[in-house]
Amino acid sequence: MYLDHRVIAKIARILSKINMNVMLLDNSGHVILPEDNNREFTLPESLRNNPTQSLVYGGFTLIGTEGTQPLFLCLPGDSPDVSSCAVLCAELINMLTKVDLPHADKEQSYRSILREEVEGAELESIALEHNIPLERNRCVILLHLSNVDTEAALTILENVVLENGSDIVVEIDRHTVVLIRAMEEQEDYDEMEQLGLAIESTFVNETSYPVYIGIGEPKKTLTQLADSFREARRAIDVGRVYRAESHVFAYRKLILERFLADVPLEMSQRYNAMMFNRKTVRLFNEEMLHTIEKFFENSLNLSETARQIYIHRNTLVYRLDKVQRIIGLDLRAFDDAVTFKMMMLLGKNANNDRNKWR
Amino acid sequence: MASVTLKGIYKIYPGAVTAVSDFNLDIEDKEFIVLVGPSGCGKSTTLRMVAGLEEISEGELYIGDRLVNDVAPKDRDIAMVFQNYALYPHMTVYDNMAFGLKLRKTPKTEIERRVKEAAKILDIEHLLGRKPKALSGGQRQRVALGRAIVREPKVFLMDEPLSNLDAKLRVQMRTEITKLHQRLQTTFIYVTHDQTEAMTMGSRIVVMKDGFIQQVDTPQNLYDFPVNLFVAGFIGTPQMNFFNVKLVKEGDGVFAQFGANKIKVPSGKLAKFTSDSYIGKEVTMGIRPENIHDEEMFLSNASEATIDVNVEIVELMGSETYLYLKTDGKDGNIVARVDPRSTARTGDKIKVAFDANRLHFFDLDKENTLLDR
Repeated sequence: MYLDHRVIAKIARILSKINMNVMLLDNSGHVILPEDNNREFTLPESLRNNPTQSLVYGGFTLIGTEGTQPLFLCLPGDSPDVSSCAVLCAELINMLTKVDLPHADKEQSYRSILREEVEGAELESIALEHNIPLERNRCVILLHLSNVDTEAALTILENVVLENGSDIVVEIDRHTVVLIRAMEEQEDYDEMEQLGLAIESTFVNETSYPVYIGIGEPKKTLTQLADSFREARRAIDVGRVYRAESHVFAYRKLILERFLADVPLEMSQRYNAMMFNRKTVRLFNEEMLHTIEKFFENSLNLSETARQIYIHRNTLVYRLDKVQRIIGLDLRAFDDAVTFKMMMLLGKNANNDRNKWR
Repeated sequence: MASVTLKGIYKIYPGAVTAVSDFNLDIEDKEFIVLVGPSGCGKSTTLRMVAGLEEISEGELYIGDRLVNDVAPKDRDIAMVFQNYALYPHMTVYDNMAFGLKLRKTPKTEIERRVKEAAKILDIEHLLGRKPKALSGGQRQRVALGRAIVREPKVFLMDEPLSNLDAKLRVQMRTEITKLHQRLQTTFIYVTHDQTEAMTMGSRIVVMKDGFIQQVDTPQNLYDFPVNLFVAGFIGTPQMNFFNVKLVKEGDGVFAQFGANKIKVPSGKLAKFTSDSYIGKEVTMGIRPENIHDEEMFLSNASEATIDVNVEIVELMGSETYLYLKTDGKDGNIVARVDPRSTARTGDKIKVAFDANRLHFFDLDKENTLLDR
C-alpha cells in the first residue's frame, strides 16, 4: 500500500499523542515511524496471516491494519491496556487511510501516467475513473528538493494550486514533487516560468531548503503529460550545468544548452581545448572570464558592461583586444562571440559529472 | 526592529574557497546599511548568511540579542526582497501580498489589516485587485516590497532589488525605498553593486572587496576620506585620477612630481601625513575629476598646482563637461569634470590646475591612505 508523506505525517501526529514508544512498520518489517529509526524487523508469520488480530511477541504488542498490504504497529508492553491502545491506533489508521484513499488513488494515477507505467486503454480507463480530462492544456512544474522536506513543499504547492481543483500536486519520491498545472486559455509559457520563480522565492522565504525547479512544455493531452515531466527533469539536469547561478529552468529556454549537453564528452573536451589550453591559461584568468561573461550578458554592449563591472570602457576594449590578439576571435563581432560562447559552454559540459546532483 | 551584529564571520566553501573573511559589523536598530562592492566581493553571500540561506562557516550572528547562527530563515524575523521580484501570475496583488501570511496560518482579519496597511504605505491600494500581468515593472517591485512589509519583520534584507528596472525607474524607486525606510523605522540591509545607489540611500556604507571589509563609513566620509586606493577608486563617478608621484622637498615646500609636472603639496595637507618618512619616496597621488579646474580664475590663483595637458576628448553632459586629458608622466587619461561653459576643445593644449587641498595620497605598495582625517 503506497502512503504519501501527508498520511504518514498524520499518523505520526496521532502516535505522538500516546505516551509510549510506538513504531509503525511496513509489511516487509521496515520501520516507517519514527522516521529516524532505520531498523528492520522480521514479523511473526502468525501476524502476517492474521494482521488485525493483536499479538504479544517478545514483550511487545503487535497489530496490523486492514488491507492487502497492511502496516504494523509495535507497542512496548503486553498488558491488556497496551493491547486496547494498539487496537485503537490500528483502527484510527484504517479510518485515516480510507479517508485519504480517493485522493491518494488519483495521485497514484498521475504518478503512473508521469512515469509512463500506463498507456492506451488503461490510461483512458484510469482517466475516466478519476475524472481526469484526457484533453487539456497542462504543464509539469517539477521541484527537486535537496533536503528531505516534502511536507513543506506540499504545503506551499497546495496553497499555489487553483481553487477549482484542476491543478494537482503529486509526490513522486522523497526528493521530487510535481505540480501539474492546468493552464487557462489566457496563460502562456512565460507565466509558467513566473510561477516557477514565485514558488522558488516562496521556498527561499519560508523554508530553509534549496529547491530546483524545472518547467516542461505545455501539453494538450494526458498521454503527452509524461513528455512534459521528462522535459522538466531534463531542464533541471541541463540548467544546473550551464546556468549554475539559477534555480528555475524552463525547458523551452535551454535550446542551446540542451544541444551542447548532447555533444559527446570527448568531442566537448576536444573543442573546448581549442580555446582553453596551456597557452591561454594566463589569458583566461578569473577576471577575464568574468569580463567576457558580463560582456555576453549585456549583448556585447561595451559601455553597459564596463559600467556594471566597474572598469573603464577603454580597459574593456583593451581586454577584448588582448583576447583577439591571442586567440584570433573578436568578441565584439557576433559570429566570433557565438563561437567563443559555445566553446566556453562545452567546457562546462566537459567538466560536469552529469548526474552528481541526483 | 532590531540591531544586527556580525562577529568574525567567515564563509568558506568546500575546496577552501573563502568568500567572506573576518566580517565584523554592528548594525544599529533602524539603520539603513548598504553593502557595496564589485561582483564576487562577498556582499550577497554576507546578506544570505544573515538571511540564513547560507551556513556561517565561522563567527557569530546576532539579531537583537539572539544568536541566530542555527536558527532557520523563517524563524529569524527577517524579510527578503530580491532582484527577481517574482509574483504568482494567477493571483491578485492582494493574494500575492497575503501569500506568506496565509502559509503561516495568520488569521484572515489580521492578513487583511496588514495587506491594506502595506498597500497604503506603498500607494498601491488601487492595484490590490489586479494581477501582475497588468502592472508595470515599478508597480511589481512595489508589490514585492509589500510582500516583505506585511511580515512586519525586524530586519529587511534587500539584494539588488532595483537592478531589473530601467535607469529612470531605478532612480524613482531609490527614493521610494529611502522614504519607506523612514516610514517603517526598521533596520534595512541593502546590497548593491551600484555605488550611486549606495551613496544616495545608505546611512552607512560597507565597501567590500575579495571577501574583506575595506571601509565602513557614512557616504560623505567614504568620498572625502577613503582609507585605501580601492575605496578611492570605487566611490565616485568618473573615478578618482591616480598618479605615481615622487614627493620631493624643495626649499620650504614639498612637491608631488610626475614626469615634467610638479604640484605643490599645501602645508595643511602635509601636516595630515601619518609620517614624514614618505618625503623623497614614490607614492600614489589621487584627485577627483571635479577638483581639476580649467577656469582662468583658478589657474591664476594656483600657479604651483598647474600642469600642461592635451585635450583628447570632450564629453558634453549638459550640466557639466568631462575633459579627457593627456599629460607627461601619466599613463592613460586624466578625467576632469569642468563647467559646461568651458572653452576647451579636442586637440587643444591647455593648462589645468589641481585643487591641492583635495589631494589624496596612498602608499604605493600597501595602497592604504597616508593621510589622517
